[in-house]
Amino acid sequence: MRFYRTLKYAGKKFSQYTIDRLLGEGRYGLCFLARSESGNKVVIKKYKTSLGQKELPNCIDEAVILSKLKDKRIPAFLGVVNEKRFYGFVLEYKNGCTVKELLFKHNYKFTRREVFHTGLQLINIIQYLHENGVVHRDIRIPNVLMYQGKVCLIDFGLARWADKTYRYDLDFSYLGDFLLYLIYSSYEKKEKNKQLPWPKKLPWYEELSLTSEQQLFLRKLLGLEFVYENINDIKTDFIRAFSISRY
Amino acid sequence: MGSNSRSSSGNHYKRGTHGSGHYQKKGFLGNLLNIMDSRSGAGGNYNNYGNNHNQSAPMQNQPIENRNSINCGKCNSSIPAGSKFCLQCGEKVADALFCTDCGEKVPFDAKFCFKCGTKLNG
Repeated sequence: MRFYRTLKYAGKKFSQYTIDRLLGEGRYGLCFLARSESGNKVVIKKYKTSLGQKELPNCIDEAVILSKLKDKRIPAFLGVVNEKRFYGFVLEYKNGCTVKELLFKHNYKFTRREVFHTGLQLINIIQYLHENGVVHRDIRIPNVLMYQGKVCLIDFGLARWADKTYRYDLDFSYLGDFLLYLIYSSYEKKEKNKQLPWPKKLPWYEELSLTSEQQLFLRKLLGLEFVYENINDIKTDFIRAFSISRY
Repeated sequence: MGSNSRSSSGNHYKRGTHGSGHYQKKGFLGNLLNIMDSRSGAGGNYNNYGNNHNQSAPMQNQPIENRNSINCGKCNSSIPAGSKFCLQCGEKVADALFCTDCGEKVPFDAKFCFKCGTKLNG
């Protein structure tokens, strides 16, 4: 299917952009790498549109939010393509590999020092979003890019302005889940448990060797203890619990 | 069990009691769980303590977001306030407008000129 889609769109020109290849797909539609007439790489996020649909896909929040945010750690909104039943947003291309690819394709193991640096950068991005009233709602390993140790957050398709429905703490739980992926990358199962035909399934707080401070921090993020009020408290506690001097 | 918890209204919240079986998993099941995680929801929080005391609206800088719109100068479609581009034809929206009366520069979503008080279009 991926090959077919690449074949279907590769080389086609929409507005001033020529599609290069398929980068990924999601519920929203397809994501392509494309080039502008001046040769600059861009990403085109093509939305699913049903035939005969006159209204725009549900992407207004994404457009307005990305228009407001101006930060090198977030892809800039560069334009709209709407022609030949092709509707999409043109976004800045960010170099790098997703954390999902790093973990499961390249089997990368994050050291505790890297967990700290990566986590802190992501917390800083979330802080920037929350200061601007935005909840991302989809901070997952395929949506975090890394390039030369620098972190970028992509895919604002589910992002919303924070209100009583869309609350900041949703991002906190995703952050906790994200950090556990990083920590587990260098986790080795105990030999005794490996040998069992049905290895015992333990929760992260029983499996990982974490300090009580680290464990409490993650438990609060994941809603297993009283949750955090805001990202500033999270940043303070993260630095206290995970800073390199602790290792 | 899925990798998250949801309320009856389809909200999702990472409750987080998984272990290595979840965080070190890849392949079909891992992808399936990720797709499930990526569902759109109303975004409420649910945790074991039911302590959703931080449900107040933005504590920090409030966005200047509203549902007002302006009309595109090229295709006359409605552009949601704050968007850098017309979402129909892609025309770039000017960052600022000028008051038709006194010429003062005003934000594109301003309703009145800050200098002379003239009512602005939009």
